[in-house]
Amino acid sequence: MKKINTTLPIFPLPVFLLPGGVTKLRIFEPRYLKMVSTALSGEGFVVWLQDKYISANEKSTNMPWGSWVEIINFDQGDDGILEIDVKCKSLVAINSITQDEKNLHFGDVSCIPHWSEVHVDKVYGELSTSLASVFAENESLDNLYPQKGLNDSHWVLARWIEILPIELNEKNAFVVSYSFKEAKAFVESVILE
Amino acid sequence: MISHHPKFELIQAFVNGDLPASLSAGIAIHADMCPVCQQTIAQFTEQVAENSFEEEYLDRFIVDDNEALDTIASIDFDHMINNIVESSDIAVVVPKVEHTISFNDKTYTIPAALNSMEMGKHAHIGKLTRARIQLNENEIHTSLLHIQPGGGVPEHTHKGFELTVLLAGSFHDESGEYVKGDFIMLDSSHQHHPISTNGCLCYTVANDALHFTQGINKLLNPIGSFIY
Amino acid sequence: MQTNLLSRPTSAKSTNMSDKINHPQLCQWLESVAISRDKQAFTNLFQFFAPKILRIARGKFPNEAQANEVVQDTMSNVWRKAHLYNQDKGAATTWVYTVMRNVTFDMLRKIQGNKEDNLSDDIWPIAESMSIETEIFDDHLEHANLLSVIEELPQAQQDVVKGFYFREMSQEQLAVHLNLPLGTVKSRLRLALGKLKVQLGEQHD
Repeated sequence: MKKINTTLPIFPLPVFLLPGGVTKLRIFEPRYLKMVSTALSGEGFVVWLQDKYISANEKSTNMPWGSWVEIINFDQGDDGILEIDVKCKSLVAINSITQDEKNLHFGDVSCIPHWSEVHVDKVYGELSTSLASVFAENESLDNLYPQKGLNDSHWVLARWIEILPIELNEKNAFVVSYSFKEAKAFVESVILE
Repeated sequence: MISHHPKFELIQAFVNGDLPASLSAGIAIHADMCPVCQQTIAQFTEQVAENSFEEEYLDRFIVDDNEALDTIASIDFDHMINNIVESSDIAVVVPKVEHTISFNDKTYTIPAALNSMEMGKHAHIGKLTRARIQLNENEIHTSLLHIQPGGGVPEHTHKGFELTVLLAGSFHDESGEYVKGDFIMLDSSHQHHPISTNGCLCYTVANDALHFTQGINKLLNPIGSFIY
Repeated sequence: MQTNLLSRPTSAKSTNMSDKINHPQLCQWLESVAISRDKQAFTNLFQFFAPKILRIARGKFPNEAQANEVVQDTMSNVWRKAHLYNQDKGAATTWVYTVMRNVTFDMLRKIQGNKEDNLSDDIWPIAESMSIETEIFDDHLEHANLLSVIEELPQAQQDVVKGFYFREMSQEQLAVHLNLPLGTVKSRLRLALGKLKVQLGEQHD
């Protein structure tokens, strides 16, 4: 695991992304457009699931963390708004946050390891086929992943946690509290039976 | 079916940006509902744009080429370019939010052209309710006028002109029936007495014409028939 | 931009021959500005349009400083709004003309009526069914604000925004996907989360 300490722009958003996860963002604000232009030439930025989205009684969520993403595609929506596709390459701990004069946040971050970034050549059978059919049913989701890791059991599990309808503070626990084993048991008990 | 449109001179002035905001908005509202005028405007705009940016057209205005060069030299274009491209700001676009207005418990969508305009308080006279639109155009008064079913405007004339764009519902006067989208321009030579059987909402622009500017006056005055 | 003065027929002014505007080239420059913030492309556009805008503005504003302001504002809008130009909807000249006419209109209103209300983009929209927000919201991405902004959008727009920001299945979608009653899916999720919390509690004890 490479240890990186670096400063990156922070984008506070209620979006939960694990390594390998892709999402589309619509960028309205000038300061974030500026961030996008910086990110295109630099090292990407961090999507931060802020503390305030996470309920106060979750004691174990003290560690601020974010999804370090890179921009893999951008386009202009029908309405002229910039849309970017971002892919998470690693989770990072946010050690400190500063604000520049344009009100853009920057964070001092260091990479944290997570099971979801480790590729495993192991097929899950039912979890994989079930996920494949979710993609097939949902075109906009499907388009985000031209190359799917359906043969990678970690990839499959991470995508399931991203798309399952549970609260963000509960998803948060899959980063700060729960192990791979627990995540797997959780998804299986919802999807299989 | 819309059967009353702005005449072409008015559309030309609209495209050139020569009309006051009140009349410009009136034409924009009409065009929003009228594909025919929409197309005329689009074609004319394209043509004006083409002419504006063609060297030859511009050369016609230039008497002395040296003078032209002096004019251009008086701005530091390079400096201006550098200033502009230094900014990383990009215009932010947000989905247009529909604004609404209520008259006597009925809610109407305000035409997009009026979105940034300031609305005054409602004034009631019988079955009429009027909301002034604050445009600060001196003798030109702009309003939204709501008529309840069975209401009407007493017979009147205007010293200057009176524009009515029907936003919802219908009304009739001595000359016939008017429907949503109709653009009705009257001048001082006409009296009329509009009545709305089922109620309506209108955008109205009228002036008292004492100080009406010359260019526009010329445009609006020679209205030969009652309604064109 | 290369204006080839030498190859231009000297009689051009007396005949009806017009300088053909190179529309595809203008479109391409505008696209480059929109997509890659291409400064050279902008410089090319500037050199093509600015002198013409200046001449037109001098016709409308006797004051030289005001005419210069029209050039400055128009071209700076071209830079900031290039991404709103849609070449399927018309020529680049038409779009720049609209930007220039709108700047001029608002400026005349400001001078004559002392009103800084910028009505032109409502009367002559430069982007389809959208309005330009020139003010920067303070932190509208903060959750509560973002949600209230979203609530105000028409339904179709809401779906788009939510679809992007909150990209996950709804419980209903999951139920359809698993071919189970909604109630079953809800209780499954609840039970599975409960089990996790119990395990977590045990670890911490």
